[in-house]
Amino acid sequence: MSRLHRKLLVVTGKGGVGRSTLCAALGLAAARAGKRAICVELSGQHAVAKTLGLPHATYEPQRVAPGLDHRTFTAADCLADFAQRKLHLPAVSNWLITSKPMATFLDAVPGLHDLLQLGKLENMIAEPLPGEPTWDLTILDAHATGHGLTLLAAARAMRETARVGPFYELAGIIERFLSDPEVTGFVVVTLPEALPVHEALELSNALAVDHAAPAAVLVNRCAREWPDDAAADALRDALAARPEPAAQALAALADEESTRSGHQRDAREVLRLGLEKVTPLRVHTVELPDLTDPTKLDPIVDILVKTLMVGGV
Amino acid sequence: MTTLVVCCGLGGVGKTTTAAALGVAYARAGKRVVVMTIDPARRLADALGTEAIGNLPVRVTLPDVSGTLDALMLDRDATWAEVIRRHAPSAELADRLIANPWSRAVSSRLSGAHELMATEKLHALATDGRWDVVVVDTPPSFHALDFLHAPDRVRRLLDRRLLGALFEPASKGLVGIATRGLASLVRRVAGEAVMDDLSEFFGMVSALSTGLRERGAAVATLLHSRECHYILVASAAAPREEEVSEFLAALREDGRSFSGSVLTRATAPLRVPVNAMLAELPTRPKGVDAAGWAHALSALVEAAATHERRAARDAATATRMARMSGAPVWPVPEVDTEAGAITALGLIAASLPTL
Ligand SMILES: Nc1ncnc2c1ncn2[C@@H]1O[C@H](COP(=O)(O)OP(=O)(O)OP(=O)(O)O)[C@@H](O)[C@H]1O
Ligand SMILES: [Mg+2]
Repeated sequence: MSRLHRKLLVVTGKGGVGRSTLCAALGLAAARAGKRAICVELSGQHAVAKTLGLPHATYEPQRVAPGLDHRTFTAADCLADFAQRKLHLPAVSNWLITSKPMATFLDAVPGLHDLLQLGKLENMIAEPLPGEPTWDLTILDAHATGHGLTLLAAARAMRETARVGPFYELAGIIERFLSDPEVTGFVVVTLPEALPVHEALELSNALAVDHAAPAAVLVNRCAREWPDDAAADALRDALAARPEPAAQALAALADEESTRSGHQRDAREVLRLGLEKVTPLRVHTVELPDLTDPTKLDPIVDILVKTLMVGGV
Repeated sequence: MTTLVVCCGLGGVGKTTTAAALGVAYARAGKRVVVMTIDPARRLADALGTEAIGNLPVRVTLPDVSGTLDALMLDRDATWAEVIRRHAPSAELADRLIANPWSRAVSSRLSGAHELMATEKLHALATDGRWDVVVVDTPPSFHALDFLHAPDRVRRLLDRRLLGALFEPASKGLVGIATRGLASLVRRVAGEAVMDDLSEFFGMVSALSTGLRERGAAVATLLHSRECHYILVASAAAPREEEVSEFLAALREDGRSFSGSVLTRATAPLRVPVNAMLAELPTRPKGVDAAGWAHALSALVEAAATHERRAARDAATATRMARMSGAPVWPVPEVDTEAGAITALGLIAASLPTL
């Protein structure tokens, strides 16, 4: 996809907006568009795995659908990988790496978890060793807790803390990798409501300053619009004129729907205008439906294939 | 004795809003209350007035309340600096620690440090004496449990003895081959310079460990007391009941007192059953476009069906959660925030208890 020509999509957004669900949907969409794709989670998370119907998330990639794999990183796995790759330590030292004191070390050094996991992500995408599997597109569920607003800021902070040595070098590699808009694109997930849109714009702005404007903004859970026309007004008037409790209840429901729909429209307009301020380029804004059954992602996957994958993020 | 209310739950469920609304409920009940929020959304922060000053309580003006409401936004860097100053044996060491890059990384990038800072601040507020009630929001996390366990874990991690063997393998006679192997591996992985920096950092931060441990014990007493009430905030759209039951089990095991769950954005049942409503669909008035009318009718019918389905789902969730927890569930309807954040908090507060 020209729009999804990038190697890595970092999917971000505030808690609970549907980031993990849409990571899974993006992975399925990429696979359907003929890419070899993989969804990656951090810190042993498994929300995307669960959405994809995978009972156990593992560090080793697992096939979840034709053309789509999944894996979850942990700091310990990534440390073992780092030690082998950068220091050419034999796999024998693995028992040391998985030892209790080493786990304590990993936990106690601020930022080390993120550093090692992002380092592995970079290796996997940009410098696979001979014989290692590769993918056309990696989709990262960048959970909102932990690292700062943009991941990139986290990489920069790690470099400043480490100052010299292997960690410093690794942080620099991660920073360059994440800040190359040709390689890495950010996808912001939001909801069609005032506050989430406000937060999505703040995030987009921070990204534009640190990196580049988001590759796409996904507006999740859009509800059916209440028609904003004369016939709908006539319906509300007809209901309001009737005294029966049932008619009154319907009138109240119609009012509610019309208000909610109005807010949804307003939120989308705020998003559109806000994104115009963030960047002169067009940001692909994709509206996705609120599903009755969120385990059946097909309607969302269809839209993502059409809007982002065909022709391209 | 100060009453504590701890709002736990996963990210994005409305914890911060619930905490603020609880504050309003207590102020209405005539209490002097302070609410500690964590990363409040801009509009809420504006309404509460916490945006300008992190870490310091500011008075929130509420209409028609007999109590008072103060609010503050947890500033983790500032709290970490306060912790350092409180526990460091000398001002000189405190200054050096505050300036140390690894120490600066603690408050923002050490997993669990956010929770530690929250409990430190909670302790400060609860022992201050200015408030009858302290309501706290908790940091966003993967697990509602993080708030219960992370602070102690981090207090232990900040003790150099834990890692001592990694930094000085040769000096102690009893250090085994494994530890020596580990120490040399870590040195190669991290590099000499970083290990020296880390050794210095852990050396300094260990000076806080006695203070941190004592404070940890005091915080634990506070968090296990009968005056400390735990509330779980869950979203009706995604209640994640597995995590709820895990959280309840952990509270019980710890002997902490669970007060109940708040189910946010719950859909209230329709006052009239959908079938009765649909029997009352009006006929198209003259002059109204037929296609438009049919479209509006179908939108209305769909809205009614969706509403009924959600209401049934939310009622069932509330019943299950009440049964599972043996504690009340307070459903809170979605409120219209257009009228302003303070008004919205007032509406939410009407559905919430004061414990
Ligand atoms: N388009 C949708 N339609 C219906 N339900 C949805 C949709 N998107 C997400 N959900 C539901 O919303 C809930 C939250 O989604 P998800 O776990 O993907 O969010 P998240 O942003 O990853 O949350 P967290 O911040 O906790 O990681 C889930 O129960 C999911 O099934
Ligand atoms: Mg998630």
